This record gives sequence, structure tokens and C-alpha cells, in this order.
Amino acid sequence: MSDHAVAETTDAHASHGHGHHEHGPFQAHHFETPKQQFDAGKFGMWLFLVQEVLFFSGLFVFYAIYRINHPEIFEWGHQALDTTYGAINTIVLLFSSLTMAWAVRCAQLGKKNGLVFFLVVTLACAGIFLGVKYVEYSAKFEHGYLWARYFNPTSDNPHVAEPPSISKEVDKVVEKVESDLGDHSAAAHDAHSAEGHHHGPVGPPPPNAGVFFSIYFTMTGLHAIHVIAGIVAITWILVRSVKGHFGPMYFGPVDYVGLYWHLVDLVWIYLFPMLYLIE
Amino acid sequence: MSSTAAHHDEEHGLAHAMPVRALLTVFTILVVLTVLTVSISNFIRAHEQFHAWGVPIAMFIATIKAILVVLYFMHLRYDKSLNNLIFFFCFAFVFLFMIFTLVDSLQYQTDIENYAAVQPETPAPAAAAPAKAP
Repeated sequence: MSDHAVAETTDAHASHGHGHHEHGPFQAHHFETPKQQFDAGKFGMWLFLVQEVLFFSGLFVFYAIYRINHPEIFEWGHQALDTTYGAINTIVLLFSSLTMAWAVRCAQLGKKNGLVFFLVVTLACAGIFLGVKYVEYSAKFEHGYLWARYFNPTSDNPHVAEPPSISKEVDKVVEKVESDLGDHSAAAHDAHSAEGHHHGPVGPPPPNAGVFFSIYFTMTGLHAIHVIAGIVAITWILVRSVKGHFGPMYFGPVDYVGLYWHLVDLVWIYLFPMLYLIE
Repeated sequence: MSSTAAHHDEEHGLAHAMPVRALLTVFTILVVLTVLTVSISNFIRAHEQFHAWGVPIAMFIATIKAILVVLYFMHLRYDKSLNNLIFFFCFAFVFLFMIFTLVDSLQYQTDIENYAAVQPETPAPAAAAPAKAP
């Protein structure tokens, strides 16, 4: 990633003393000014983000083509997804974007405590997001809503032929989270009040219904990998923040990681309606 | 983009810093839009006659949210024109990618359907493989 490249270059040259310039400890010696270094790094980060958008766009095109040619698969499949979880994760990611942007502001203004605080909150939100995804994936695995030819829904009523132990635990977690969080988003409850806690699709699956779950797992899985990469990057920034590396004249890495984190949020902003809402 | 003008207004070190009030306002709008899109989706689910509006409305709201995140959380509104240019050109190419691939795919879809129509008792191979629970 380009921000790593910038950081390594910076570290490699930080120890060289140069008589003719007032270099900060993290200013690489091939840059005239901190501003030039910042702008170069930011340009590199935007190019990386462009690559990320084009990379994800392949999956979005796959979705669009499959959806236009086979709408029935989506109408059936999306009922297996719980809008409540999707909406909660959307809010969590939006909030983490807010705290990340706030962290960048703190770095720019040289407020170290605020920077550390908001980075920790952002990391916590990323953790909550992955936790909710874990609960969702567990429910899909349990009910056999898997990709392509592994697609094998257990039954229309998941309470009947329940495999033991692990799935029971998952069910308990699902029900607890739902009862904890369900009250706050009344909107998602209308559609499946009759089924109780389980929101299985109605009717038999259409041919190739597994493709919906191929799309679901590929897109959300790739997004989750990006969230994990974001956690790693934010942790790196957090360590450097605690060491007091950042200030008004050097906050590039915080800004670049922030841009990456917002892009992860951006992808989810589209994934949520595409997979959970549209029918 | 009037990035140079904005720079002189709120210069903090190397780049524009977003005021806290602006960050909170953008976040509030994003949350409101999320609640709105879920509510509209539930409404459309309950009213069959508006079915065709589901996709355009949901994508429109998502695009407004995306633009807000890009302009304010990602500071693009206050960023260099070059960064604006490459990011928006990128979406122009995504648009081309999608349109050309869709046109091509739709071109051949009727052939596929005609072929499937004259092949009774042989569904697509992927559909035949797993045993469906009744």
C-alpha cells in the first residue's frame, strides 16, 4: 500500500541529518517541504483508492448482470438476510467513519489525546462490525445458505431438524443480539413478524438460488477482508499516535489511513441496499 | 473546485481541517438517509404496485450518502483538483465498464433463453447438481 511505502521511505531517511534544511524527523530528504511530502503521499493514496474502486467494480458488474437476467434469484435469496443486522452494521460503519474523520482533525490540530481516543473508538466499531458479520455468517452456515453448489437449505422451518450443540449456541447469540438490538430499529421488524426470530425465504428456491449466496459471500467477504486490513492499518497509526509522531506538520499517515477507511465505508453504503433491501 | 480559496480560509498546517460541527451534521444526515432507505424498502415490500421503484430509489439514496462521505469525510471538496479529477474519472470508467458489459450480456440473453426453451428436462447443470429439500 502506498502509505506503507511512504512511511518506510520516511523512516529510512529520518536519521540522516541534513545541514541545509530544517527537516522534521519524518520528512524524507527528497521532499523540499512537509507540504510537498503530504501532497505526494495523498496523491498516491488517491491512486490506490481508484484501484480499489475499479477492483470492486468487477463484482458490482457481476451483480448487475446477474440481477437483470435472473431477478427471481435475488427476490428469493435476499429474504434470507436480516435487514436489522445490515442496518446496524451500516450505522456502526458510518459512526466509525465519523470518528476516523474526527481523528484526522485531531491529528491536524496536534491534539494527541483526541487522536488516540477517536482511533480506539474507530477500532471498536470495526470490531462490532465484524462481530455482527460473524453472527450473520453463522446463521447462513447453519441453515445451509451457502454459495453455488454447496447451497443446501436445511428446511423451511429451521427449528425442526436442528443439529446439536454449536448451532444452538449460535441461535442463542442470534436471539440475544436480536432482543438487545431489535427494539432500536423497528423498521426492520415489519416484514417478518410472523416468523418470529427466523426470517427464512418463503417458498422453494428457484434454480441456481445458490448464486445469490455466492454473490453475498464474495462481496461481503471481500469487504470484511478490507475491514480487517483497515484494523491492521489503524492499529499501526494508533501505536505511532501514542508515541507522539503526529502533529500539525506531519499527519499524512493518519489522513491516508482515514481515506482508506472511508472507502471501506463507501463500499458498504452500496452493499447494504444491494443485498439487504432491494427486491 | 475552489480548493485554493478554501485553503486560505481554514488552513491548519498542511491541509483543510473539517470543523466538528460539519462532521456531526454530515453524520446525522447519513444516519437519517439510512433510516429513510430502510423505511422506503419496507414500504415498497408492503405495496406491490411500487415494486419497480425499489432499485432506483435505493441506489439514489446510496449515491447521495456516498457523495457526502467523499466530499466531507474524505475532504475531497477541499482537496487538490487533480485528486478530484482522478477519482471522478475512475467512476466514469466504472460506468463504461458496467454499461458495455450489460449491453453485451443482454445481447445474448435471448439466445440463452431460446436454447433453454428447446431443451426440455435438462435444466442448467449447476441447478441439477444439489438435491433440493422439498
